[in-house]
Amino acid sequence: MDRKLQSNLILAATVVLFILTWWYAAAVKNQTQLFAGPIQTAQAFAQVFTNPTISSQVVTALQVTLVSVFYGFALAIVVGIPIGFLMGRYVVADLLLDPWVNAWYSIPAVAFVPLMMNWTGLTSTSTVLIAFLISVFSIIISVYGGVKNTSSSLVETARAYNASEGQVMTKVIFPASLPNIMVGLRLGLIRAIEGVIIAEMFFAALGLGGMIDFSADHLDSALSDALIVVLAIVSIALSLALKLLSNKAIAWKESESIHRL
Amino acid sequence: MVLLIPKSLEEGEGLPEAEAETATGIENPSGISFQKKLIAFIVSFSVFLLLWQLVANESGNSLIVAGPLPVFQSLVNLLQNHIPLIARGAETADSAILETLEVIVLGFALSVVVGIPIGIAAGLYRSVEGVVEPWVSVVYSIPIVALVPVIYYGIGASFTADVLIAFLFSVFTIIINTQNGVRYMSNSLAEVGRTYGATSWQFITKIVVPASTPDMVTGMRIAVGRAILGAVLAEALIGETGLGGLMMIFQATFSTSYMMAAVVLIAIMGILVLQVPKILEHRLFKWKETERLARM
Amino acid sequence: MQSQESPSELLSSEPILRVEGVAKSFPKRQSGGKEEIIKVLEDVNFELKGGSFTSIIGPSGCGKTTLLRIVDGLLKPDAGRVIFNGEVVTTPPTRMGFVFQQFGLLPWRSVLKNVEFGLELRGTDPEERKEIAQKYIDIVGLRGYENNYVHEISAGMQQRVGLARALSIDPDVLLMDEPFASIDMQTREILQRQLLQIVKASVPKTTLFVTHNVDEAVYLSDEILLLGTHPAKVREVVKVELPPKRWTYDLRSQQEYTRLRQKIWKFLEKEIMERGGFGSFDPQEP
Repeated sequence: MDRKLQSNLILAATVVLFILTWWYAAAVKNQTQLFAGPIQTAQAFAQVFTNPTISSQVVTALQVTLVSVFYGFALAIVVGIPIGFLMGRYVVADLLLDPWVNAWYSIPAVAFVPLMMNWTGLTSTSTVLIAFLISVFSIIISVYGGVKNTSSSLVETARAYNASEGQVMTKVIFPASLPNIMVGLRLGLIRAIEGVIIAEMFFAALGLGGMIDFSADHLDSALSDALIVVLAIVSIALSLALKLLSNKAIAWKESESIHRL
Repeated sequence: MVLLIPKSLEEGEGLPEAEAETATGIENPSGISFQKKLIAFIVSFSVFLLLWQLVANESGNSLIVAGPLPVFQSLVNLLQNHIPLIARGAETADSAILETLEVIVLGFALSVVVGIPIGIAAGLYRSVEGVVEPWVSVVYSIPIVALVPVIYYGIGASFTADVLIAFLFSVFTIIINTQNGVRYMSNSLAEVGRTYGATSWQFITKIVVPASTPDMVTGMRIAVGRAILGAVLAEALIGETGLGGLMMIFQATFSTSYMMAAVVLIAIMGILVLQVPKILEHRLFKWKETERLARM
Repeated sequence: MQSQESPSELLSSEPILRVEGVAKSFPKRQSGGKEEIIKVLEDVNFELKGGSFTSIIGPSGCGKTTLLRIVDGLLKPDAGRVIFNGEVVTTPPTRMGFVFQQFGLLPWRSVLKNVEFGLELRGTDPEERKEIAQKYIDIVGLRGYENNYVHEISAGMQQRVGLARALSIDPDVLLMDEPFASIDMQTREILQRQLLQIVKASVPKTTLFVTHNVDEAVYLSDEILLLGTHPAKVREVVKVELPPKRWTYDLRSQQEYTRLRQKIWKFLEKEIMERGGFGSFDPQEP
């Protein structure tokens, strides 16, 4: 208990230190339009809620962003989970797809941006596709790992009870790899958000990412900082929601760790 | 909030990512022969090229999609430092590649130097974990790209800004993987150190570090990938320098085949950096054996 | 070496290690989220005479392993103390060796480097520690496997590496925590014989051995401490008076062996049935 209190105090101290450093850096720079301090940012953050014009802009931008994240992530789930299963279960699929999944996964996501700009333009479709491309490989790889590493003794048990291939899949491999699937989904969600924001930053006209870029370019760094805070809160809330869901789904899994000092 | 957030990283985003990562692989010990793999690769690569050509034909507009051949030609030109007339003023390819590599190496090196000690301390000591984990879990959930304008207007479009962004993209992956490697190290190994009277320093150097090296190395490999993303992103979004800048200049000047060649170059860089060390990892950490499911 | 002497002659009268009134509790989280304090050990007393082989036996989960960890200073007792070579144990003493149930070998090191580990931590000169390690590798019969990684050898061989590592620091007392529990029956019997030969003849050691296996305890020990459960306490000390050099004859055909075996099993059965939550199986009882 004591140690917990102590570490919370240190944590609070680091937060204070961070704000002070930020404040000092802004004071030294002394150009609020370019680099706003914590106070201006807090004021701008309050404006997001109190100023109806800004408020409605933010709500619209947030909607655009969230809808893109939703479609990109949903598409990645629908495509990623089956592919991950096929690759984990069937050698042929593994042989044909593994090098591709690994290769595409290794490509820095930003490389997709100019391609999409050419093909689908500065639209939400491009944003969704970029989010999808970034997030789907994290999901495939996690699902694949889970399926491939399902303990063979579990599969043998099912076989001993005359389980069909479909039953092995749904009753053994799926639940056994659920922890990995959940991890893949959580990673995939973070990636999807990242993808949407990257695309919006480049397009500079859409969603929250676009608004952050736009306000920074129009020398309103306080608003841009405040929007980053909004984005942070939304991202963390989404990750947390998925984490809670995943805890529910895999409540049977216990974790082990070493005794620490 | 502070109490809630660490939970979101309890299993670590990094560890399972690491697990998932090592579970796949070029050299997977599932008994598939290299020859089979090569044949499968040639088959699927041909299919890929064919599809690409088909899409290019279908679009009928080489300004939107360039086929594989023109892109290959542009790649060769690019590597010989030929730049299309319309994109004059762009850097030559070799200086662009060099600059991007510098950003990646510096950003990555910085995150290793900063991330490994923090990760080890957070894995070993609860008090450090209590401080580090909330920060890491918050920052890890936020798209770092949102910070690019702040850095751009804060310190200006510069080499330093690019390095800083590459650093920010990669350091958290290193911290998380290192921390997980240390934290989930087998308890019995920790006990061995204590019964043989290891000092704290011996405990860290002779037990903790070797035991968590595979996780650290996996973390570093993924982190290089993140550093590349950060570097190219920063270059493309702010200074229009390096490979990322080149890619955007070609895009803006409708030099589509060159733009796609730059994309291929970046893709190859990512693949080389992430996949080649994976083979080495399998060889280096043979002592970490795994059991696998027999498949159909 | 001293192999011609009988083990009873080796026993000195001075205890090398004394456990006095040791108690230990652990908090346990109940399903309702409340914490309950479980008393694991209470008022445990015993001593080890130099050169003796002592086993601790008790129902599984009774706290044998906890006791051994307290003896080694890995855990602190809530009450009581452990005195080793005249000093109170607070941290793992340099002159105690520990053999783990899960072997505790460092998988990134070769067999030789694993055996050298304890000496390395003590800063022994590299040439010398290699020589010492080689000597104990020879004693446990692993010559030829020095450069193998741990995962390349069998479980039985791995535990021999664990034994060689513990012996190499020349401990006064060897603590063994169910060292053969995860090894198959046949290999286990061979290892038991080899262990006895080593600690009674090749490199005589005072040994404290934790097990839940009755045969193993009778075969190996000069003295057996019977540990009861909830909380664990030494209920009885059984002396095993069988002829020395037990590896040279078929011990299991001796009448005394059978008698002791039955006596200990009766004790264990009673402990498990009474306190292990089995209730009563006797149809005669109400």
